[in-house]
Amino acid sequence: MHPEALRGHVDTMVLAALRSGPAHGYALVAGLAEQSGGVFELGEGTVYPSLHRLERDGLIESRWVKHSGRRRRIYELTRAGEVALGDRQRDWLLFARGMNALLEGSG
Amino acid sequence: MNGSRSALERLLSDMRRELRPLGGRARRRVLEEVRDHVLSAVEAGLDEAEAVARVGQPRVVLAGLPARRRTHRAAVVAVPVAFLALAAPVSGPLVQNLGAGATVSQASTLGFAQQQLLARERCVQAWNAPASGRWRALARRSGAVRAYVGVGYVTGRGWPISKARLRVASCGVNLKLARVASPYQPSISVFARKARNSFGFYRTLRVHSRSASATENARVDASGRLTLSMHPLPPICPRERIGSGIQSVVAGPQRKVLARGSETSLGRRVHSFVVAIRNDGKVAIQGAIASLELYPSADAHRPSWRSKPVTISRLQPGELIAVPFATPALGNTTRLVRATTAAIACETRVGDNSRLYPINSS
Repeated sequence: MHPEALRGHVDTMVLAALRSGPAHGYALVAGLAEQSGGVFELGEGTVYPSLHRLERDGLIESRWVKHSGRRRRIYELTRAGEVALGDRQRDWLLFARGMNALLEGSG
Repeated sequence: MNGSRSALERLLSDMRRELRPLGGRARRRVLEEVRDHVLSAVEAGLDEAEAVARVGQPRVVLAGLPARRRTHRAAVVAVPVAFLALAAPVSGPLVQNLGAGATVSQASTLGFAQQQLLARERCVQAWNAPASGRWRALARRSGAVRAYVGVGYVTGRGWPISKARLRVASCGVNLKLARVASPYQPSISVFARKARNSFGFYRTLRVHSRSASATENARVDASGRLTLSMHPLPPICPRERIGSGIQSVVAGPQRKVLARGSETSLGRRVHSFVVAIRNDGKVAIQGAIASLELYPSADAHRPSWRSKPVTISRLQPGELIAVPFATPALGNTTRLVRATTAAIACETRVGDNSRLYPINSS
């Protein structure tokens, strides 16, 4: 899917990807591409603004760890993040149901 | 090879400059994360130039970061969808063209993603309305069967954008014309501006854009009407993965293989390349194109030379083919070579179908 079509969904995708456990930026991007069967190809730089926003909003938290002699930032979902993800999931399902009904009706 | 800076060092240097408005601590953190990201990608098997290219432009990264000591100018997001950048002039403190937009009335109650999709739907309604008969006639005449629908809008000062109030300003329909044997596919953009509670289409622009990746989100029927489908490919395409990938590029009679992670030194007089292309998909490709471009700078913005596309009539799954290109002598100004391949009718980009190779011909 074109990155343009993913804009606006990145925060939710990042939250969903972190649901399976803590991850650093690259692992997160690779995980999104793999779990979506290659459908979600993000501009990889865009994941960091998303991570920083989510952390500022208290939905995820992060810490530095050492890896191969360099520092690596690991991100993790907070309790508030889990709740927000649940909310976004419900919103999305509601929206998708409405849109599907609309498209099937017009097709 | 020479001792010049690596692609990663160049990226970090560019980012250090672009991210200056962020302030020291935040900037150091982003730089450290991006460095780890690229090195992780290299450890996973990508070459450095490719890993760097995937990170994207520093200004796009900056645009998405939470505002802190940032100017408004820095907050304007770059617009990959060129036709929307030319949409109707809009007023307001910030302009956001995100390829999809928002409705006015629901802006304060719906999430950002929902607003984008609903606004796109409204653009399609305007296209299908009786007042847009002239534009549907254009779609019929041009034979378009696919289109990309996008919406541009302005935001208030809120940040991040997901929390800002949005106001629709324009929308556009990019009609995809019949595919041609070229990496640059033709299309017609039709622009609309806000008119009361709907859109009014008012002008067109013919464009050619790189289209190895699918960017269609709507079907155009025989009457020129649009239906949002989110189907990226025409229905004639097979369901299996289909696409061609660049395997290697070899320069000159010395048969020097270009490296992707570091600069390859080539003589100034080199004027030929051979590109190896493989069918990375699972079905035979009935027609693909290959092309080569030379760039005078490392950012692959405007090529100094572009080959005519070479057509490959048939490529079986797994088959490898060598395509020769004669170029002008490199001289001492060429910094980058790009090889591109794409299946003409259907392409799901299963492999690397556009590779960049830094070179040094000085």
